[in-house]
Amino acid sequence: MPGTVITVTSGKGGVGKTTTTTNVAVALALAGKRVVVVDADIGLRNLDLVMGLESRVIYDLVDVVEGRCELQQALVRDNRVESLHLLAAAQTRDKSDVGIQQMVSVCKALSQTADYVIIDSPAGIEHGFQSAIAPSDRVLIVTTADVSALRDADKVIYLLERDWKHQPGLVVNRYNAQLSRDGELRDIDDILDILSIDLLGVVPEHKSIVLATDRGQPIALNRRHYVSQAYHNMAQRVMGNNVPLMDFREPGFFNALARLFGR
Amino acid sequence: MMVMDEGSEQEGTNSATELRDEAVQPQTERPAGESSGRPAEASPASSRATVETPPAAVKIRGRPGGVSIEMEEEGDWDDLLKALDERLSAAEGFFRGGRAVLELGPREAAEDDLRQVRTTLVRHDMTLSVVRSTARQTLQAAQALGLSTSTDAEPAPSQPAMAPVVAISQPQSPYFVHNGTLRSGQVLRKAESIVVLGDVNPGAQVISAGDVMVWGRLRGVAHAGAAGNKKAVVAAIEFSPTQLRIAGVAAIAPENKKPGRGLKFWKKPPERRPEVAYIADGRIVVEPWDDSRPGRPKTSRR
Repeated sequence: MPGTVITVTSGKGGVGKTTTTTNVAVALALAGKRVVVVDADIGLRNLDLVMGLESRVIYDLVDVVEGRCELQQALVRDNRVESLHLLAAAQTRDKSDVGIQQMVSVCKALSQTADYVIIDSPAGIEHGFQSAIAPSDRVLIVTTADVSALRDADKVIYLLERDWKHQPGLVVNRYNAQLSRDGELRDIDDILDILSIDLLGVVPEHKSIVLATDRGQPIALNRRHYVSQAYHNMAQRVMGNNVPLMDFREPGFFNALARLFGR
Repeated sequence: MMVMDEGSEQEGTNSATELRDEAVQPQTERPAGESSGRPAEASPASSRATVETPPAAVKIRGRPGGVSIEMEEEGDWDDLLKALDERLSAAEGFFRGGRAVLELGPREAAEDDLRQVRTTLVRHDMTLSVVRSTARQTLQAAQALGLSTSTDAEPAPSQPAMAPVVAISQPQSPYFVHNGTLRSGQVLRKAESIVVLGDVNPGAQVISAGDVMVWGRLRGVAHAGAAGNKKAVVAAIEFSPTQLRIAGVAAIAPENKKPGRGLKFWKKPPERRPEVAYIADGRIVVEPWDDSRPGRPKTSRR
């Protein structure tokens, strides 16, 4: 049975598509699934940086499409997680070098051997987005709680429902539970109110995610850190298991007290 | 009642043409139907061209206080009568007790012809009240029968001679119903009044020559009476549009009041009531829907 192709997209740039792709992929791989991540952001490749695999990339997606190497040759194996592979994007080319049909056939080939093929889509709704969506069985929309991110996510959901008949799942990234609790910023319910799609996961805002991403050490590898729970929960939900939302407060004495008083 | 700030005259004239490009929307399930009977909407701007029903001899439309019956200008009178009879039978008493306006255009009808129509209507428990025509002979015949007449002074809506029948058994409603949420970037433009069963998200637009009703949250842009109908209204269960336009008047929603700060248990969620917007004294006014219900003390109704 071929694996599932999942596209991670957002519309707006900078909301955390690449970070989410990486960490969900790591979490799925740690759960024992065979995972291939594909960077569809040709010309602006950075999935390999976030995964910390930059130095090991030899061939990329464009090489595969143009027949300079075999598909299996181009896959970079992650040395920390056995079952995780990366197919990098080309940095020197642009999005028009990979057609929609080529993207579909590459992903179809990958899904023969992998349980999950996760595509990191470029920002925007142009050609790159189209070819990242075309092969997918499922779509994850990443958004933050900002107005602009929500507006773009809403548009992307509209496009997905109209052109691709997709029912995407939602990932709320960089969620600031404190601001939402104080009523300063919209909370999860408000976001779901607007977007009205299924929630797949919520990732709290935390500096260790920023740092881990910058260092190429995905936070999901560090299971002892409480925020990595967000990604592992998401991976469970991708696999079809029902797990509750995590507690967004950092563990600690004062937060334990706050919890006691229901704040 | 609250008054929204800043009315401005900016749309009005060019919005009539705006309505013609219907195809921004992905949905094409249903041809654009007849506009409702209000005078402003009977203008040529309404999209009749797309109606696909077969050519008709008799056309029946609901009008405030009754129905109007249009008879084709050419064609055999007996056939028309038969067609009228069939339609009325098919309506199964839908028009019972209704007063009918007979529209004959330039056709020259004799007294006898009109009497036949009257008998047919009476058979269906309807009364013939007015005959409208541009032909002298017809008008005289009508007066001879004691019917009131009208010379069609106002320009008749420019219609193709082969106008579609309104099938009464499945009345073509003047409402377009959109099922589902309108998302950012989506534009719904119709000549008919629009009912959205779902939310209108920020960034989405609903534009209608008639009314706009949202059975959900209205957070995007709503434009009612886009062809200039100042009687059009915008209504929503949760009323917080980014921008609101009725005919040529625009308004921006007032800042939503934040719930007061305080401890969880004392914090009250802002009250949500369905609201209706309409034009009063040249400005857009929004009020809770039940303020305008009959039986309620009147504030400033139109």
